[in-house]
Amino acid sequence: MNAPVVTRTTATTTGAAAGRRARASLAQLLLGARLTLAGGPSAWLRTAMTGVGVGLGVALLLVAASAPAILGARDDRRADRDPSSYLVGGPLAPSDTTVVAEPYETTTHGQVVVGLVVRPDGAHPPVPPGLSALPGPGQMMVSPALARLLDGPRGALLAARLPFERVGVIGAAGLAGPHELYVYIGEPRDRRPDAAPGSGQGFRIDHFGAPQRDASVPAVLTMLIIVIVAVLLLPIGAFTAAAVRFGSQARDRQLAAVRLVGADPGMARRIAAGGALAGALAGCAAGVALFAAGRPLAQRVTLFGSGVFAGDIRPSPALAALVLVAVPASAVAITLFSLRRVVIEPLGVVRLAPTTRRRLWWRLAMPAVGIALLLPLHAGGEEVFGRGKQAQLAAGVVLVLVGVTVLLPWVLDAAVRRLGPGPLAWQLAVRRLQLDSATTVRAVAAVAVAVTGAIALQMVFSVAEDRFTRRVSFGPGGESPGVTRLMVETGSPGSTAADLGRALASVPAARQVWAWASGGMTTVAPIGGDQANSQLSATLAVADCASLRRLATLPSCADGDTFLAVPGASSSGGAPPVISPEQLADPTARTPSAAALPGPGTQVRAGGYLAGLSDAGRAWVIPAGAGVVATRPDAPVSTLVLATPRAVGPELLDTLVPYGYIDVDRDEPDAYDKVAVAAARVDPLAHVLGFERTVVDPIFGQIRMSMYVGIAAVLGMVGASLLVTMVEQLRERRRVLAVLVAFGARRRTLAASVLWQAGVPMVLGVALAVGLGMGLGAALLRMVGLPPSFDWANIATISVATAAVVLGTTAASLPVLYRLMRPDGLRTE
Amino acid sequence: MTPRDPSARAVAASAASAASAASAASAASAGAPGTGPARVGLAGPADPSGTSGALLAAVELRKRFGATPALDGASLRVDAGEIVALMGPSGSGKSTLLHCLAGIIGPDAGEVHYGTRRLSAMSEAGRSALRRGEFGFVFQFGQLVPELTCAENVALPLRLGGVGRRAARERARAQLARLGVDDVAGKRPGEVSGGQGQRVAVARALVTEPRVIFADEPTGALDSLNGEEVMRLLTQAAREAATAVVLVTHDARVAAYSDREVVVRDGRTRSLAG
Ligand SMILES: Nc1ncnc2c1ncn2[C@@H]1O[C@H](COP(=O)(O)OP(=O)(O)O)[C@@H](O)[C@H]1O
Ligand SMILES: [Mg+2]
Repeated sequence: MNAPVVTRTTATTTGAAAGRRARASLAQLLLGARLTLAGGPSAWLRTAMTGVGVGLGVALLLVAASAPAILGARDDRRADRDPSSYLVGGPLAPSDTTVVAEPYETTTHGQVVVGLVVRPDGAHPPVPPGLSALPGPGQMMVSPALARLLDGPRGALLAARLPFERVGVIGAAGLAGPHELYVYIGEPRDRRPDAAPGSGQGFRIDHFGAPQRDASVPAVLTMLIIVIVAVLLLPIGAFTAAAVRFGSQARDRQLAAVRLVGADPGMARRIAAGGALAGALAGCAAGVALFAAGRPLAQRVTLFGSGVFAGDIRPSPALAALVLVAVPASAVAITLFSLRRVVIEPLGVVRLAPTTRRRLWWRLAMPAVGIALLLPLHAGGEEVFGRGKQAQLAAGVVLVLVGVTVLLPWVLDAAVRRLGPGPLAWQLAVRRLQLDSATTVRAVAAVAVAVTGAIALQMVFSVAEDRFTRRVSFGPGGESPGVTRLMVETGSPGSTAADLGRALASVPAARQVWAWASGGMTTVAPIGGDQANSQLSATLAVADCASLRRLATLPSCADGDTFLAVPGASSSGGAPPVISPEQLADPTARTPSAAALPGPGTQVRAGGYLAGLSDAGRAWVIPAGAGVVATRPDAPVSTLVLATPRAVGPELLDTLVPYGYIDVDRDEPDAYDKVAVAAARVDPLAHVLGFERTVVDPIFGQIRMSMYVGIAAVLGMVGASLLVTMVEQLRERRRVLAVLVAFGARRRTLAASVLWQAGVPMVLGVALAVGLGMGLGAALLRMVGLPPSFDWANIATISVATAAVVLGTTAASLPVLYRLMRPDGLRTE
Repeated sequence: MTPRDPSARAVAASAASAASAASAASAASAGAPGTGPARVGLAGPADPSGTSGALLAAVELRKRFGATPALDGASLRVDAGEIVALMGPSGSGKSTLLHCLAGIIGPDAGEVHYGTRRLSAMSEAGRSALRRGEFGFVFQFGQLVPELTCAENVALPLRLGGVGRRAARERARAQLARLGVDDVAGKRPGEVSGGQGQRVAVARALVTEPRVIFADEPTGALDSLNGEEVMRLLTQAAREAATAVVLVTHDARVAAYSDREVVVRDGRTRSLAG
């Protein structure tokens, strides 16, 4: 477009001609834009459909361009409040500027509430973001969402275990998202001062903020992210491309009219390009508006558990610019490309008949090359992908997914050509597909890409889930069917263990209750010859005889007795060894491979939860009369030292912390909440844990969540686009429909034909997608070093969900069909 | 040419008497229109003074589209086997009248009688069945289903009426041959000329052996040579089968193929010939 400038300076004749041509081209582009924007009601409708469609696509692309900011901001704020700075440097001494912070976690009605219990050592403790000051003893500050939950109808069971004075609300700077349930609790004064708070896992810190943030993402996760991005963006692209062509038949008629008044084919093309450009630009404007309007709404949605702050949804400028340039550019490219198959004649439009059969080889080559790119990659173990491998992976995935869209027209053509005769509705549908499958293919291709990706991802996820999901369990099993076992940790003095037992026994639907004062012990003398692990550690449980009998089978018991409990003969494997002080001192002794107990007469240091790992414990000698007993098969413990209160003495006892286990009916509603409320009577900060809890790696969890959300969004969007396409097709065919009605066609005949017309490509598309999806999934699994495994139930679910979307949207277009089955279509315009 | 009194009352009365007489006396013609005896009974020459033999009668039809009155008291009778041309300027209401006669749209006021049946008293499904079984249609253009071959287009009304695929195909082929276009049977409408396409449309209108063919400017998009040919074929086939034709046209040469011409002006009918 620099020709006009040249004209002005050099004024050569060719320059002048080029300038005139450029100006004429520009005028034609503008004419196209004007025809699109001001071409009467039908042109308006067409532009509106394109604008809304492209706008939807652009808005989604802008959201995608904001993903780095969204995730980055969440991670930043999480890291800023993280108390794990204790991890670097040595342990801090208590000072005016330190605070002991202990993670708090509970669950209410299935929602997880997390936070920190804080105990400042002095007057100037550090303050996390979002707070102006730490809550004082017995006070708490909650996130807005938690405040709503506590004040709401379902907050009673939670409020009962957060009996603290609410003194403030956490600001946005201290929250991952607007829906996060977070709390800061000032440790109550009456809590045992010498015990570490709660489970004893408190950290003494002098500032908040994670020590390091750039956790390198394992290759497997990189792989998942790349695949998800490709799977989500490609259908959006396909959808946007389809939206650009909304109403193209009406456009072709308009061009024919332009040809009639003297435009040559080149002019017609430029006019078409101008129209497409105008539509796409309108779409971009609509998309930006939609994005801006949707941002505040996004805050209301609970995504990723805690939601997204509107302020975090900021597109990266480079990506946003790319979207806003690429969309109009591809709109023009798509339009010009689609016009290649059309001859625009002055007297109406003649389409080039699809004489050439679609070629198969390059369509097959695309996914094949894609798979070939994927196969040499290995993402197993701790491997981290560099740029090159990321690009190779992305290219491979994109080629396979694009392969779906290029194979689908061929598959559909080949299949439809072979479809046999049938009832009239079937015949109408099949003939329609034989004559022109392109429109339907465009709509179904987006579905097929989404399904291919979903199936591949599903395969990888179900396998990767095991890797990134830990099942946290406590003690050996022994749960009976129909029963859930929960574990309770408290930070109260050990002498209150009996209170905990009584509190738990009062829970409705409690089947069985265990409670004792728990601690650890470490031998004072090192194990003879072992350099690596020189001390023997064991668990200590102190309780009255009645409570101990629920843990182990005791021949006799009196206060003052001690027992060495090992799994009974029924349990697999030999009984763990009991190591006498003499054996311990033997210079050839090594650390036993299995759990072992120190024998009678051994000198140990014993105390609260972690006391055994430091010198903080109190000296104790395992009494000489301690005999070996068998733990009960259903008990939550296996190998430990059992003692009655008199055997350890009140001082040692009070450094221990009450522990409890409770079996409740699995059907009991809100069992967790009820146990937590009971435990809170002994210690409001008691920690209740499910016996088996699935802990998902947070990054993995986020990735999986985004996939579900994204695929649902894509399917919804594809459904919308399908609906527009169907309605448009029906409107284009209103004359034929009216003639069929004149001949007495029944509604159900025409409805069935519309359903067949969508159903046949849908079935073929899903079949192709399942095949390629399983191939892609197998290739991705191979990268992680795993054999392919197919989860048919999942594949069926995805296929059925897709079919439901396609048939649902088709069914939604039936009212339009019925409305068009009116004689208006017979009128000649 | 005897300009007839356009007074609708006479027609209304006669149509009403036709209906009551038929329903009271002739169970045969009411019960089985389209069967042999009824057809013979109605196939005789039109009786201009009486209406008892009318196959199709419209009485005082009124129809508005918004503020536009398309029909403003139009009346018409068509006897069995009769070819009636509706003539008039564009926008005078010819198509609307034809659509009302065929039961494609319902008038705001007035009645359409087919034999002894009142179209307004029938359900939508009943009117559809009537159109499938007893009516045929030819329109100006764009009426062939583009994705079906010409033979399939001709077979379409048969299949809509429940005729099996093979039988429908045989009859469609035969009908195409009768109209001299059997060579385009396997082609799609987009691949044939306008005249051929219109002949295929005529074949489609005739294939169910209907009692009435409604033709709305069937030659409107053709040159005069092709138009004449199509009209010749249509009227010849209709006369052979004793099929009545309601022909909308504004071309006097086309109207010349009819037995009788009726002028439609501003939504009213005016007969020109008896
Ligand atoms: N479906 C419709 N909606 C609105 N106006 C209509 C409709 N059909 C016909 N008309 C109007 O009714 C009048 C008669 O139309 P029509 O019967 O098609 O005339 P003709 O066939 O004689 O040219 C015209 O003014 C036309 O615009
Ligand atoms: Mg008309």
